[in-house]
Amino acid sequence: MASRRALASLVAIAARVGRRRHASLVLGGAIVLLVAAMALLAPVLAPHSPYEQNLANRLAPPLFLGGTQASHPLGTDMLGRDYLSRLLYGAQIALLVGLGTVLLSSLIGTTIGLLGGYYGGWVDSVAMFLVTVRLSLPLVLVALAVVGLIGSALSVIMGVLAGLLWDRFAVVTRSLVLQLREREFILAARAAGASDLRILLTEILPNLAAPLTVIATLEMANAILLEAALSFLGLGVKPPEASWGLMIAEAKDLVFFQSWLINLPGVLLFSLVVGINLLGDGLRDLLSAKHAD
Amino acid sequence: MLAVVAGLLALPAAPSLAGKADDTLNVGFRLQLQGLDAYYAPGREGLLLSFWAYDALVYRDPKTLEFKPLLSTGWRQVDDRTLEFDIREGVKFHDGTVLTADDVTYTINFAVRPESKVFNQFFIAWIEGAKTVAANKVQITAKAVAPMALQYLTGLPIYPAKYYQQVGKEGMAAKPVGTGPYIARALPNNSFEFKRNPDYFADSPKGKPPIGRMVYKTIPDVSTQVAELLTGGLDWAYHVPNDQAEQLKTNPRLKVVNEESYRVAYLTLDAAGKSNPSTPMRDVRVRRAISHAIDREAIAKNLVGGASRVIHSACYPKQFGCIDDVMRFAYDPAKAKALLAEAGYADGFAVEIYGYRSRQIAEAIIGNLRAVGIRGNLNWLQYPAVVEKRRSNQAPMIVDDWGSASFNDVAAIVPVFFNGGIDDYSMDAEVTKLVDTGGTSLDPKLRAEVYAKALQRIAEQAFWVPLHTMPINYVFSADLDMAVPSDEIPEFFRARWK
Amino acid sequence: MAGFVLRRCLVAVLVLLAVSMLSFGLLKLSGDLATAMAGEQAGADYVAFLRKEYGLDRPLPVQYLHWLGRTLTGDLGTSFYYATPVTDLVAERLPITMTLGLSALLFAVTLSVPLGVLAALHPDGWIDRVVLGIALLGQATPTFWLCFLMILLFGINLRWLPISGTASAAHYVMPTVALGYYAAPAFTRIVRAGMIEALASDYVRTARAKGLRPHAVVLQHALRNALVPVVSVAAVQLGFMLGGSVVIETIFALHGVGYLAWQSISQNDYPVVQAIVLTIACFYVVLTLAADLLNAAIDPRIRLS
Repeated sequence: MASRRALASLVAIAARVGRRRHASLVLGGAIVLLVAAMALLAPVLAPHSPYEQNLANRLAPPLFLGGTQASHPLGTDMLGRDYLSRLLYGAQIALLVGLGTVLLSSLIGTTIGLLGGYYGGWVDSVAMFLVTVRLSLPLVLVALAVVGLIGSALSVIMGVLAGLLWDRFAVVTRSLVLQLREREFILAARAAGASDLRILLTEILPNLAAPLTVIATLEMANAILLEAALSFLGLGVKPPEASWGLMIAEAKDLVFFQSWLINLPGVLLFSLVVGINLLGDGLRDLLSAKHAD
Repeated sequence: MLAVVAGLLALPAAPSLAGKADDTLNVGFRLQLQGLDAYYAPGREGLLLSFWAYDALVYRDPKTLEFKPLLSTGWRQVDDRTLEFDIREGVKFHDGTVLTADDVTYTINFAVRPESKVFNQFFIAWIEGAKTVAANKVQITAKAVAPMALQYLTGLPIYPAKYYQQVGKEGMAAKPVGTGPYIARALPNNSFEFKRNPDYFADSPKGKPPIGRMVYKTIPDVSTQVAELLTGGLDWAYHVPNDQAEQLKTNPRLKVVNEESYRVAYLTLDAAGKSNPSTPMRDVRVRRAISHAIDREAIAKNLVGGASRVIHSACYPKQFGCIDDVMRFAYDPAKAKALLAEAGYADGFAVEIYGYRSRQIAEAIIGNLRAVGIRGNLNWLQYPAVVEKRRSNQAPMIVDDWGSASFNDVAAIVPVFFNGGIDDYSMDAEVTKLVDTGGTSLDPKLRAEVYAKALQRIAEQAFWVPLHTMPINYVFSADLDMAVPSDEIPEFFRARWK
Repeated sequence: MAGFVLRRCLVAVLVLLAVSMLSFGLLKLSGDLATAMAGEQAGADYVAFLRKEYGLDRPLPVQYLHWLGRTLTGDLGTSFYYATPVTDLVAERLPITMTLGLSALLFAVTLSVPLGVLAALHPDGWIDRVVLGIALLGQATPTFWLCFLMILLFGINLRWLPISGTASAAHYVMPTVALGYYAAPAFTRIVRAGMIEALASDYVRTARAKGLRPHAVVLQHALRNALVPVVSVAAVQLGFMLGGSVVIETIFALHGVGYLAWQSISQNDYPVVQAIVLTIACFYVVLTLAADLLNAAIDPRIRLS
């Protein structure tokens, strides 16, 4: 029943995409797909290992800036590593950090929002209290402090970011559940004797999928930018991993001279974040159009 | 952005720099001064502070390396362990009080007391105590024969006893009173002002500063420093990485000089198992493998650049007692892997690495280690925090460097790290014994001999991986007439405008 | 109203308590304080003495209460690195960060209110699209990139602005723009949404029907209502900016609390770090409390929810 409803809404969305022009959705989707393709195909596309260093051949310019080494079409970095390969592998880390963080943070946020919205009363008060506490913690500072203490393994970074980026999931989930819980199909399910857990998971959650996807895109963009900021401050992804944020951090001392070193990962990071945001905006438009129907 | 950069280096010369116009020399540093009490200011900047705002009993001429009287007028060896100093008369502290023998005695005894916990322990570790023996005479007694006594004394600034007892180290850090060529004061935003001391004593070998004011600016980001140099916001900076220095050479308003220093870079390995009793690095084969894994030649040539060269011994080649004729480890990853396999680490191992100076050199080393299976996990901290990690037995591997406080003698480096103390991660009884002998003898021949033996053992046991010398890039305004130091001690009090 | 104020204040106090527990946790996580305080050359008995003196041998809840008591009297401990009271350190640097945060807030609001209004006048028109586009770019531009671009353009090439330090108001211009630019999109979206809603509302329609001129309607009626949420968002954003200026302070060598926090983290100086986290959280809580009370005073409906 519930899955059929979710499927139906997906079909309706797909139909709407086909019917109207959704420029931002299409553009955003294309960018994200492109980056995903980079990440997945990195082992195939990359001409070199991203870790292979050659100090004698460092800072070779890319071909479009007068470089002459065909084997390094985007030049080499300050340790002579192939820049194209590192950029491709960097897509893996960006998406991994983005997706990993959002998966975790949506789990935390949705759970808190579901419980608060469904049970109301003191459970809801506790849920909202947690959100307020989370919001009063300075994001970048706490992330830096905790990573500085525990170390910056990729899993730690994702965990810390997830622990700080769940609030919007909780707030949106809660307000949606508040609207849903008095709706007929929920009341019917309850009357039929379904357990709370069953109602939450099979009746309510599927109805949240679409709006939560919108939040997920925004938070994913946030997580990716935060990872870059952590790396910039020297507390992000560890070398020699190829993360765009780390690549920018490594190149920052040369920003006025070999600016392509910072611009290439910078543009990719920027594009990915724009793409994810466009995708989110597009999805939101689609949903509000659906509500208007 | 690319087009903007292209025009960047071809900028026309600015008519006049702000610094020259208002007689203020703006100097940039990455590390901030931790207050203005020189005994508690760590690192090179702390040492520099002691020369700017304070004076010691003795001064070392940077050209001839001769010792000259500064707050003393002369000295003599009373016995094997005792030096007697004649204290200069008529020298005034910045607050107007007159320097006395008791100030000298008080300062030395204060620094020596263990509970004072001054930062640079190796400057004072040799002293037993000081006492005033006549109105203008002070005797300083060493614990044992101390060949480096005068050298150490150049780095011990003399404080006004009464004032310091009154205000303590917090007071001194905020409002310092010395006798030096500059009167120091904290400005907002971690800047410090050094104003010419108008009453600086005429006979000082340092001389009264021709430029009226110097401002120490703490700018942590290299790119920001470079931008300030390009626009005249800074008149002087050092430790500018080679890539940037090369680019700045093309700017007509700046001078770039690459000059050797006493600083050498090396990797410390936890041979004693201080950080973890079961660390693979207790095995000499593992330490040798690490030595073979690192391509020092490529690092010195391509990353450090300038006049940098590879070293094989745990000292700066020109220092007294330094020998380069020790066991060498050529760059040979295959051999490194074989050695690791022999030691039972065919699959390598993971190790925490600490670093603070050059990220790209640390990353190159991590790349080299990874190629033989050693997975280095880089912890990037500030220098004092790395020292703290080392002293609390938490640093299995450090990408470290040491400037020997610009002493021209291995006694300023080998005993510091191989004395069996808190900074020693090899705890090798044999080396410690040799180092002790060298540190307590006045006979140059014997000292050279024992240090040579110690350095040979250090190399053979691969306690360290000596990396390279660290010539320093000085970048400064073309309007500035100032000698580039060959000992990493910039003497701004001699600088003048062209 | 009194009930609302009381309830809201109680929540604020509880939030602060929770944050203080987290700060305390951060401090405890950073290692053995007694060893750190004693310094490297200290003997075991001195460490034991300190542990007893500071109550570090007692159960965790007791330690927390002890610590909370000290904190409430303004004693946030001593910095390992500077060996000075943390309160002094933070107080000394807070003005720089506050100046930066407030000017960035002002910049963001001045930039985004006109943009938001313009966009709302013709939703989906080309102005709207451009404005939303700008907002999107603002959200996606990594701060440090913008900083370096500005230094290059305004600092080095045009020589209009000084690059680093805090010597004059001009020194704050680039950091302000960098920080404010990041916060502006949130305001633009809120003003736009608020205006669209207000313009479609009954009272604006009534005003229009009464023959008021369009710009009078927009400025006097719609904008006033659209600005209400801006107040509370401004409080939230200021809180964010106080904690989010780390990158900017590092690049422009502004030695405010953000830079101090970053530096203290890389020096393992956690008494300073926890103090900064706590201070900024306090600011945030007080600001949002003030904004809530202000909003409640303006809009009676809020009090009932």
